Amino acid sequence: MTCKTLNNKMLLYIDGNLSSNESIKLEEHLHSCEKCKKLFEQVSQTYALINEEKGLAEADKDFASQIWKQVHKNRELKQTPSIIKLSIITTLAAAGIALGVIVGGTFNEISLQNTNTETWEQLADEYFPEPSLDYITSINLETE
Amino acid sequence: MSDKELVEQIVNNDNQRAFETLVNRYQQKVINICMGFTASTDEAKDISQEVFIEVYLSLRKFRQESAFSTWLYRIAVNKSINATRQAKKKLLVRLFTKDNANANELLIPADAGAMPDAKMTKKEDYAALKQAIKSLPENQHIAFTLNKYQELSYKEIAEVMDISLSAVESLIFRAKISLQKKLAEHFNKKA
Ligand SMILES: [Zn+2]
Repeated sequence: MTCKTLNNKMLLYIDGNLSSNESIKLEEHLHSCEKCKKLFEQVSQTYALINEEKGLAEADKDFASQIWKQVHKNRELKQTPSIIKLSIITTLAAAGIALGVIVGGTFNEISLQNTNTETWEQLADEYFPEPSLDYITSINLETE
Repeated sequence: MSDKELVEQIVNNDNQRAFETLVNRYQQKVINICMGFTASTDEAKDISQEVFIEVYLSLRKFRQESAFSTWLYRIAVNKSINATRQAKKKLLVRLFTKDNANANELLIPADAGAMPDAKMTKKEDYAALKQAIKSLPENQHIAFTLNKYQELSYKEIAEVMDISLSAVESLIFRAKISLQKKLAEHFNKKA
């Protein structure tokens, strides 16, 4: 097994998705290659953070009764009440990608100085369209 | 009581206890799904709340053709994706409408903040992982999240996503290779 092959298969190995034959080859390589061994340690430790993360968010004790109150307070509402606090959320990547695209794609036409919120909202809509929910239309929220 | 019985109690009698039992039964699972799409525990909880509100409001239309859990997880995925799209959009708008000094501040990755202090040294790696997950194509992201965060079987994922078993396998397989590549790049850069 080459370093490159191994580089693709670490997570599959960790999750037990490889055949036993492949797993053995991978282990053999790890024993003989310091570079891959080190990378494997880093990758597996980081990948394991997903398990820690799962316990991080816990519902409050009165989560269920809060929701009950909310839906009964908003009885007349046909739509889901908008309660989301779009707090911190986004990441460097999201911003980076967005910036890259906007800067690369539209800077020629639009100069920053004379743009306003509306323009940027339009651009944002184009780049992050409202969900079409294609795949989830099969969700049968309307099963009639 | 089974999910089915609870659902009937809610639909027929607007039974608060039945509803709260159902929420308590699934709240952590729903939060876990949401965590696969965000790194903010607060946001995951916000989205989960929306999920259960939607469940309550739509329950009368749920015909029990699939398991309640399948239906619930679909709503959770749907709401999570919706929220991340809205968030990206909002950030973009904010970035270009505030003055540049504030823009820099908005570029700080919020993800890392979610990890406990004991893991300070790993924050960077964690941020790279979350970044990599976020950059997956949507279907891969969903399949991977349901598998790793929610620990659903491939068969359950196929039901939630309404795709074939082999499609699920392929999505998860590709997701893991793609994540692996991104992580390797991250560590090679550090080295
Ligand atoms: Zn090697």
